[in-house]
Amino acid sequence: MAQSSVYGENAGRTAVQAGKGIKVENLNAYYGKHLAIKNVSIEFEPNLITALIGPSGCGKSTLLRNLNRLHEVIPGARAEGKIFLGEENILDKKVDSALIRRKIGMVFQRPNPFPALSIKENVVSGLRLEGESNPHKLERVIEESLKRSYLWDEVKDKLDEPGVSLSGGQQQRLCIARTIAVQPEVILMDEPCSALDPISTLKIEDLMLELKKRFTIIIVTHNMQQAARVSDKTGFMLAGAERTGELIEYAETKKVFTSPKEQRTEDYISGRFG
Amino acid sequence: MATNSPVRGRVKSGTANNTNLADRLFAILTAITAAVIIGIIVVFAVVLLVGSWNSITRNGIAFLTSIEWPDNGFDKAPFGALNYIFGTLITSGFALLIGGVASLGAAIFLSEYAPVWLRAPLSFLVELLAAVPSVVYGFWGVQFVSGFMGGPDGVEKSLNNVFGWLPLFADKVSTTRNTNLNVAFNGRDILVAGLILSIMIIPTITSISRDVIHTVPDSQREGMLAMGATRWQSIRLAVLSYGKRGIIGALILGLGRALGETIAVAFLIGGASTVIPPQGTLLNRGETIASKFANNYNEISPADTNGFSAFLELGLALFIITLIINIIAQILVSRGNKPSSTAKKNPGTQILGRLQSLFFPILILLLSPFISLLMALVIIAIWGLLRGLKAYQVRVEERGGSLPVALTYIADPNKSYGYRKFINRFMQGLFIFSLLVAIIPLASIFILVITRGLPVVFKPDFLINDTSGRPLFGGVPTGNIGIAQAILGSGLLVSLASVIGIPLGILAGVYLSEYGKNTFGRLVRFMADVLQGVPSIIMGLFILTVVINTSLFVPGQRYNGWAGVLALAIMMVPIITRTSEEILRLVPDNMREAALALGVPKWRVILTVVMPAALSGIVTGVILGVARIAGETAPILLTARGNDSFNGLNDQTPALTLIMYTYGRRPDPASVELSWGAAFVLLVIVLLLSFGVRFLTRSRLKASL
Amino acid sequence: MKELSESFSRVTPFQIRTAVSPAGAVKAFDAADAGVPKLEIQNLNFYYGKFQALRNITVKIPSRRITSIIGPSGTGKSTFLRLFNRMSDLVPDTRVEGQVRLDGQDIFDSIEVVRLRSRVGMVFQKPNPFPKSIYDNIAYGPRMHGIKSKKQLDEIVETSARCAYIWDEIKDKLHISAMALSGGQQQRLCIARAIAVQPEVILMDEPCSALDPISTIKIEELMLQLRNNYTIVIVTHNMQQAARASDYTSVFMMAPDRAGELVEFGPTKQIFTNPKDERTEQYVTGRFG
Repeated sequence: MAQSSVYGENAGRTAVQAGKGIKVENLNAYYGKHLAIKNVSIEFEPNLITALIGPSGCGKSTLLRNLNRLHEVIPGARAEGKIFLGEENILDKKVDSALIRRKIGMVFQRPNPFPALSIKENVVSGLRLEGESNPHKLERVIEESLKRSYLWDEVKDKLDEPGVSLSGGQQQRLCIARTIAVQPEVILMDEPCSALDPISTLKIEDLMLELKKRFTIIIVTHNMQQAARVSDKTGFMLAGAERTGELIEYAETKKVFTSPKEQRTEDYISGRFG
Repeated sequence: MATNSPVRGRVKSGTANNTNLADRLFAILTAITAAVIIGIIVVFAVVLLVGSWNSITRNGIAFLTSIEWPDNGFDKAPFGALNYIFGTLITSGFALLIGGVASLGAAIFLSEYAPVWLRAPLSFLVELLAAVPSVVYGFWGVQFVSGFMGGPDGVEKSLNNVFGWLPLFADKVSTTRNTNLNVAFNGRDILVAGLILSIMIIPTITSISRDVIHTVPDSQREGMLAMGATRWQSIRLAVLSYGKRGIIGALILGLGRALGETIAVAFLIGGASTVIPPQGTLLNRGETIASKFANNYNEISPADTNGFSAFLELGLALFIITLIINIIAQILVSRGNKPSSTAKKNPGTQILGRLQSLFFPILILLLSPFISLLMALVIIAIWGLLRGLKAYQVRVEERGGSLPVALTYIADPNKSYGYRKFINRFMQGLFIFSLLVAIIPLASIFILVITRGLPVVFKPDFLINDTSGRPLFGGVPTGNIGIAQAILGSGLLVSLASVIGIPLGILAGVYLSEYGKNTFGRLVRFMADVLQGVPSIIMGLFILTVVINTSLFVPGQRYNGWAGVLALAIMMVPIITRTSEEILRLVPDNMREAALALGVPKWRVILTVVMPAALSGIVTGVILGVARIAGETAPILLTARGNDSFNGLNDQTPALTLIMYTYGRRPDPASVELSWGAAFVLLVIVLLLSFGVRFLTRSRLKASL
Repeated sequence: MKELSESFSRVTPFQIRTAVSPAGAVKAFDAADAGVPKLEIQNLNFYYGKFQALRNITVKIPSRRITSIIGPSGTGKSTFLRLFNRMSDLVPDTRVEGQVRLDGQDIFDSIEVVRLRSRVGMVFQKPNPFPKSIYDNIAYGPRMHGIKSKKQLDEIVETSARCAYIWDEIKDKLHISAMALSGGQQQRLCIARAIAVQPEVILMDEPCSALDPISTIKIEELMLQLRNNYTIVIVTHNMQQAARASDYTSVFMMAPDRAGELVEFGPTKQIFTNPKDERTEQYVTGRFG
């Protein structure tokens, strides 16, 4: 309950802030009666980038959305199993989802800045939610977050313009700035580059490599080369006949791409399907 | 095809074979039916304008500034409509205030908070609220609401006792005509009319704002939630701010509905009157533009040229007001490109079996008064507790101490997660409460109609005799009065109207959905919405004027069944057009593409793939349209007029709603009893049409789409 | 060439070309045109309102070959494909400049659109069977083109279903709803439905993107068989699929103003091993997309 949300206190953790790991145990997620992912156990290590790959419909996004309990927002969706953030089982009904989401930020497939808010209000929207109104603190957070998301130079002169006036790539970086402004421990990214052009994609990849010093990053991507380029570990998921996704293989990225254990992983990596 | 080809200036070359010709013919056929809708509006506007010209020139500006409406136009006195305009604005404004808040709460609860299994049954109840005919609302209002609002121990008297010092609840009114008119406290006044209107506009606003809320992309909600927002914060910051325009549009549409509502208001507003600001009080009787027609329908006679023209100008004024309101609302809601709410595959309806889906609504219906009473108490208690806590906190701090941590979280609105969480819960409670507010009247209507109406239906000869006591199909008069002639009359009026309205409506719907992505299509869609927004009493007035001026149908008999049929048919067309259009749009484009890609001409694709896929949906839409007009009173009040016996459509024609309107307003027990019986039969017919068929077709519609 | 195809399509096509079998019973006149340009696209520009979606595309698509179109999303691949059977007409406020010729005839001027579509069939991204029975799905096209005889329809249904490798799976349940089939079966049913009207060209818009690996492989094998008799143009986001299953590949890229451009066209092998354009190389090696 005593979650302190004031940026200033977190700012004490200066140079290298440790992200927290997430441990998933026997996770089953349902949409109504449909079992979308079955019996997934995986441990995301702190301060690494972990990529989840697999063909569409394999449940990788579902897994990701369970990590910050956004899965349960969908009508009829539910999950069983355990997910530990540190010592805390975040799937526990007693744990409040809003607090979890405060600690585990998320960047979506399509950039979704809030249309009614200006660029700077978008960045501090998380702090505003918590009632933060100290202008100096907000100013500082805006500048720092935008700098960290490599957006500051492009927007510093138009902070009061609406967030949706930016280009797609900039919007996505704005969403990243918004996410890191509340100093989460983990950042989830759901195909963050799929709607972007090559140059924006590269920028975001560079940004991810920088961010991993402070945060644990988990990214879902359909671009295998992207996974190979940026991630430290890779999980491969695949849906079976019942459209139920399972984790097929999880290892160092290099290993997954060069000498996968599973035949299905190899088929996928080499583009036999997908 | 012709409408959608790329803008390239290419003329189809001579190789065009007859399929293309057929394609064009089909497009033209549907376009003509669509054009009929525009034609109706044009004729409508012209008739009203020409008819009221005499009044416009005779009364001039006095029409808008004078409060005197003489009994007839034979002397020089001008007609002034200020009273009615004011009455209309104040009742509608009141309705918007109460109904609007309740509807928004209900819509938010339905689309954001309610558990999936509960959404379908709750939406069903809101639809039920929309299906109850306005004459039933009016009659229920007089019999039930007026009962506890009026009288020496009524709510109104208490309001007056407590808030009498406010002009709004004063019991003495000084007017220009006679000073000090005493309020009657009989439960038929502006306040009660406003309350009933509030209930009646709830389904309109709720369903449209729910649609608007559905159009807010999930990415917005999720973006906010992912930042750590509580549910309420995500609704307020992401959903409501994104859907602001649409929600305002929904409120305005509700206002339009309230402005045009005739019959229920005519029952309850008390008739005739003298309310002028600032001396006006909500407890006084009054009149709205629409209710003026219904309360004085006997005075609307062409014999009195000036008076008749003044009535037409009154109609024109109401038409213009509703037109403006509708235009603003349409622009705000911009219904053109939003997915319809029915398009949402609601897992709730799939999970629920048919029996279950009836079980929950009934349970909620029965429990609603108790639950809401409980919630009201809880909310008041919490509010009191908070106030107390605040006061306590101040006192503790004055003494230099501080509150225990747990209490601070609740009391301190800033930066406290507990408070956010509390507000979230509180708002959720408020929304449930507002939904229940909407549902209680429904429960009351059903209970009363069943307990009072059902016994009447079983009285001897009730379904066999007509209201003059003779058996409908011949035989010895028994003297027991019944409503058989009204059932027959309603059946005839509605089925003949359907014969005209259904084909026109469906073809125009096909045009809008399949060819209507152009300016003409947008115009037709807009006109259909305008036509749908025309208050039904004005539709009756329009047909009456046409019949009088042209001796259409039966020369010398200006009130006849055929005029009623025409009025109902015109009311039906836009409803069926819009529902068919929406259903056809639900057929996925990839079906059309698949068939077109096989080299099949468009008109055959429509007939062989699109229409069959949407068939059960179209049938449902059509039946809903039929149900809507079966419950209409206002348009046939001025045309078919009603009758105690059935003498064919060339004479005044009876109908269930008209029986209720005429007898329901009389105080004697026999008339009241007759009306309860008629209400029961009417409600059964309308609800069977609205929902019975839908339950049967629902599963098929789902399977085929 | 033009006269030939015209004349035989005026007679009901089935009377002549029913004998298409998976084994590839290629008619004599068929083999002759293999490899010659079937579709010629010249200086093609396409606009959605003011937005230019395709810029200045010139390419020749060879007959009886599989040509794949690859490129990042949003580069106009599907838009391009949908021009060939003028499905693009369905979108209001669009504009075409330049020419697309089918066997030398301008498809916008000289061929009536309904005729064009029966010559150029299409398979869509998501399987889209009609909510009718399996039999009625396949027979729909022929019926609409005037074939009424039950016997003839039965024959067409069987031939087309065999052609699309789905006959064995459906022969016992021809009269159940097509919606009851699995996704992969539905897609093959859609291919059978397209084949049933005997088109000359089959367009495929990411036909496997909604399918599982095994169905994907089946459809790829099917394409390689169909190549003997049809000109196939396929849009795919799966580069390996393009590499595996196409003879020619064209690569689309987005210009700075978001207009799609054809940056390279050539034999598939060359595109994947020795691309001329740097962007192609970056794309096929997965530097972005």
